[in-house]
Amino acid sequence: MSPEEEQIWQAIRQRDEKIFEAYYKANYRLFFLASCKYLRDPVVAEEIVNDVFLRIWEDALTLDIQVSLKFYIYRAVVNQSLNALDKHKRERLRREELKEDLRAADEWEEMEDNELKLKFYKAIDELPTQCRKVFKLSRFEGLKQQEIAEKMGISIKTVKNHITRAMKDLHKVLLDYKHLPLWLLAVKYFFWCHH
Amino acid sequence: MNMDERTPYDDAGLPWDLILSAMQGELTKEQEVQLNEWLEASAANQETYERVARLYREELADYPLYAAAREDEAWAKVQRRMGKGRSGVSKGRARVLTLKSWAAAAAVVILVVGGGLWYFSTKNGAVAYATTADQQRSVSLPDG
Repeated sequence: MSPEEEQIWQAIRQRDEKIFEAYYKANYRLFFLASCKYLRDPVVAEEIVNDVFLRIWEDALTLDIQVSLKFYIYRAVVNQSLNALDKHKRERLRREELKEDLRAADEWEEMEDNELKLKFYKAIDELPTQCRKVFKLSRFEGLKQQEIAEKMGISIKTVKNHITRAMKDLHKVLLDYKHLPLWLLAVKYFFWCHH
Repeated sequence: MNMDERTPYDDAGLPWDLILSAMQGELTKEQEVQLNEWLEASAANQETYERVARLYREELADYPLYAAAREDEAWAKVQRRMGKGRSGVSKGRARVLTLKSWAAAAAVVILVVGGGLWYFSTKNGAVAYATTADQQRSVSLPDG
């Protein structure tokens, strides 16, 4: 476990409800999205995340978590989501799986992909109001540039500028993420292999 | 993908309008020609286009789910279930079990009382035996 995780985990074991709450709220969307990936059902996803967190809270003293607290919870959420799928779909997914250890590495990667997604989504939320509005209408509501211009009473040129600004920001998030300093990768690798 | 790590990229010169209009299916014929020219100019351009397309189409797809997530409300539900010991996670099952055992207890009481009443209404006297089920059973054997 990384030093921060170790600290959080010890606090949870000592029944520190405030830290548990802060950890839950800081990471809820990551686990929520992970479950949604399999179930496409936000209601069940929330239940699954909550069940896993409650189990962590209640079994904290007997659980032996070594590699990563976040990854432990992530896997528990994914497994429980798979269990919630109907049998047919589950078998198909299982057949696609490789050996268990390879699967762990895949899931680690999947978790990192989801963390990157969260960075994009936070970046969208941080766009200036008008820009965010235009971008959402375009990307998520499927409106044409002309329709957005009319709806918002702005020129097409301004619509284009907003959409470009938004995608430039998101592209920058992607490039920054990919250019993580090498030492950080080394640290991550160390924690991953060091059980 | 790893190539990106070797080629730090400046996005200032990208034809963003062309790329994004392509994503949104809003290219004019003329723009389509321009975009194709730009794509054919270099492998790096194609790579960039694919990277942005993946970002736009796939990576952003879950944003509505993310935006609908409510950690404060979800946490309130966790909190309500916390501090209830094991009943937090397996509350549903525990409640069913309790209900079942109450039903079983009630059934036993009804059987004992009902059986006792029936027994003593058909036979006179011997009221003192009707205290427990065991005693009843031992009494009813010589009877049959």
